[in-house]
Amino acid sequence: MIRFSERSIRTRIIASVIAAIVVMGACLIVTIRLNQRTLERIGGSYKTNAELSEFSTNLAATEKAMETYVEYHTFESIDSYYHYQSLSDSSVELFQSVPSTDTVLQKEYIVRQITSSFFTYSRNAVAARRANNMPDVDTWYEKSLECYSMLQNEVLQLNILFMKKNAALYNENRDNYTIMTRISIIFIFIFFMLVLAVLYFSITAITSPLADISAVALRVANRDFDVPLFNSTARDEIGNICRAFDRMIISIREYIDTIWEKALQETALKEKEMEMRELYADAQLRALQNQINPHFLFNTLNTGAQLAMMEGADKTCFFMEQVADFFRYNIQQKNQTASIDEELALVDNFVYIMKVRFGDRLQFVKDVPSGKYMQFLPRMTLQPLVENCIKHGLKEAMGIVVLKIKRDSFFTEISISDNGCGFPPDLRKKILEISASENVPVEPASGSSIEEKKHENTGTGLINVIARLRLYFHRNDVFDILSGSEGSGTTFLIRIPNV
Amino acid sequence: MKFTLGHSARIISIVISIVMVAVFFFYIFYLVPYVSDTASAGDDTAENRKYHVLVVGKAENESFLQQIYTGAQQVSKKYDAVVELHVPESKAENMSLQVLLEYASFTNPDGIIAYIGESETNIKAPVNIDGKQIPLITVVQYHPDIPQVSFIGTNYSELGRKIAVESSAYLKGHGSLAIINTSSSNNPNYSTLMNSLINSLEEYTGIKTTISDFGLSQGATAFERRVENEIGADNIDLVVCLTTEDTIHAAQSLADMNNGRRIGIIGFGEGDIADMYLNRGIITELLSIDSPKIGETSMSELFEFIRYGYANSYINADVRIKKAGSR
Repeated sequence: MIRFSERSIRTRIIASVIAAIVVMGACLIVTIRLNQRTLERIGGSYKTNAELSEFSTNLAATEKAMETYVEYHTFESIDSYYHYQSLSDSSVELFQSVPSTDTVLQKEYIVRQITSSFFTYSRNAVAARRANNMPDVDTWYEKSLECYSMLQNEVLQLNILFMKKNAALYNENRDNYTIMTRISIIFIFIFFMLVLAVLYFSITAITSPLADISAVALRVANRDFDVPLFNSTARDEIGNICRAFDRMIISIREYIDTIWEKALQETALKEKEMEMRELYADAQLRALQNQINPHFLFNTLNTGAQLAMMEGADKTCFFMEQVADFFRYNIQQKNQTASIDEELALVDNFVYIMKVRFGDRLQFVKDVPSGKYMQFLPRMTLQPLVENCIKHGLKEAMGIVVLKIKRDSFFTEISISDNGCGFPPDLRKKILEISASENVPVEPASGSSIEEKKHENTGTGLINVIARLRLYFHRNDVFDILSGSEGSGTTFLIRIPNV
Repeated sequence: MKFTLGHSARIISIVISIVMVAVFFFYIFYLVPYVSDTASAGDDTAENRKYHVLVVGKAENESFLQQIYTGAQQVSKKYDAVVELHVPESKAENMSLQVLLEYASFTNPDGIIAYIGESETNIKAPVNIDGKQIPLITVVQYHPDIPQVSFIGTNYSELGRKIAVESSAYLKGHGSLAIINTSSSNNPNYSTLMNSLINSLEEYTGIKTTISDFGLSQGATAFERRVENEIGADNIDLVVCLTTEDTIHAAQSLADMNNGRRIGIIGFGEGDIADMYLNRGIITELLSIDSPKIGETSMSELFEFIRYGYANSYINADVRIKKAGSR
């Protein structure tokens, strides 16, 4: 058995309307029926008078027939007598049969009793007349007439009583009808209002979930998926919509969760990848730095040896201190980075050592505006470049290496230039390309000639520096090699962003 | 999710529906009395009874019979009977007692209480349609030629003595007294009453008794004139009347005289007019037969006869004495 609240909206609305119509109809039918009854009662107010009148007429006809029969002894008259007596008898049977304390009923009883006496005496008179027993005819006939006279008088009195009673009844019924009409109008109005109210609230109860669905749909349309679920158990159309809506919201949430999880996974993967790349870059950096140390150590040791041979112990001592400082800086790689000032100090160390080695053949010009340069860059960046410039500058009679620092609001530009034969464009392109790729060679390729190995050593050091700079600053334009025509020297340009 | 609006609306609609059903039934129950039997349709206290008793008499005894009817009516419920008074509404109807008894016969009652005056002769006993005698109780006057279940009447000799005692008491043994005599000499009861009264008054030597014979049918005006001339002229202290009519006429005459002298009236009879003069103090004392008691006794005897087949054949009616200012 399906509950009413679980039936379809259409069924429920139709049922509500039908119920309202039935109630109103019942109210109207009851009202009409009651009014009809009252009208019938008003119409029948004088019914007893009419019936009594008919009874009186029949009684008169009976008496007349008796008279005729007694006088003329005709068949028609006796037939008429019995006919009207029968009619009168059937009427009088409806009268009060026992004494009553009610005036009208008691009068009915009296009429009934006298009627009975009249019938008895008249029957006796008729019977005597049929038997032609004239003395008895006179006796009973006289008695009948006397009885009839009294009966007519009683009927008249009863008629008056009926009239009084019926007049009162008529007035009362008429008043009742007036009151009933007023009450009916008031009640029908009340019923009408109640039916309207029931219809309004019933239809509101049936359709109100649509408003909630609408509100939730609006929120969902505004990408607010944090809406409560309907969890409706109704089996009607709204229940179905609610369940479909719940499923849709759940699906959307699941989809969003899936996307979110994927995004998280991708982010985690990216972070992991970046971390891996940083680790890889770090490993590369360490590998490149490890490549540098053996070369420098080798050359320094040679220089120290030569100095020890040519000069006395003091200079050697100072020299060795410089060397020691240099190595210390190299060894102290607590951090992978150093400030420009730290790198410049290292360059000064290195240039001193080189000046000890090459003497006046090496001219080092340092054009650095006063101030502090605290921008960080990969450790051991400037020294290899200065070394490279000294090496290529000394190929000439007089090797001149110039280090300049220029600072503007966006960049700190460090240029290291020599007066050498210049940088071959092919080599420059090759070095820049290799340093830009992810596979930076850690060691020079084996099996090359000595000249090739020199170039390769130079290239390896530059590539190492360039790659570390690019890795550190994540920009390809951090380093450039400027070289004009043959013999115009080479300038290494580092552009460190100030932010 | 709770649909609060819909839930509230549903509850409200259910409540209104219940209210509507209640109003509907209230409406029906409220209107039904207007279409059912109305108050005018009949007497709610009316009830059917088993027996029917008629109180019958002529118009001149209507007041007395009314009292009897009242008494009988009071005990009618006890006997499960309906009592009806059948007396012509006025003397104009001029209906003989025989006709009244015929009427009683035609209605076929279970019993008849009748006041058959002493002047009524050749009265036929009432019978029902089967020819059987209807039990008849007669009051005041006994008729030996009519079969009666019981007779309830007055001992006029005793009544005369009572009037004499009351008169002496009023006059305190001394004074003049006039007896208004209007009745015919062939009325045995009246004669008995008069004789008894005169004989009794003779015992009181201090009272001077005068009998004023006013005769029959002199009319009210002539009566009043004679009262003024005879009683007003003599130094009468008390007027004694032996009928209701005489008592009322005497009261009217003496009330109009206004001669500054107080004349007492001791009357016999009853009725509203006599009571009015009694209440106004014009009539000093009013003696009467206890007619309601007669009605009650009549019913008792009638139903004793109906139930057991016998009853007391002769019962004395009590006499009531009403004094001015005692009510």
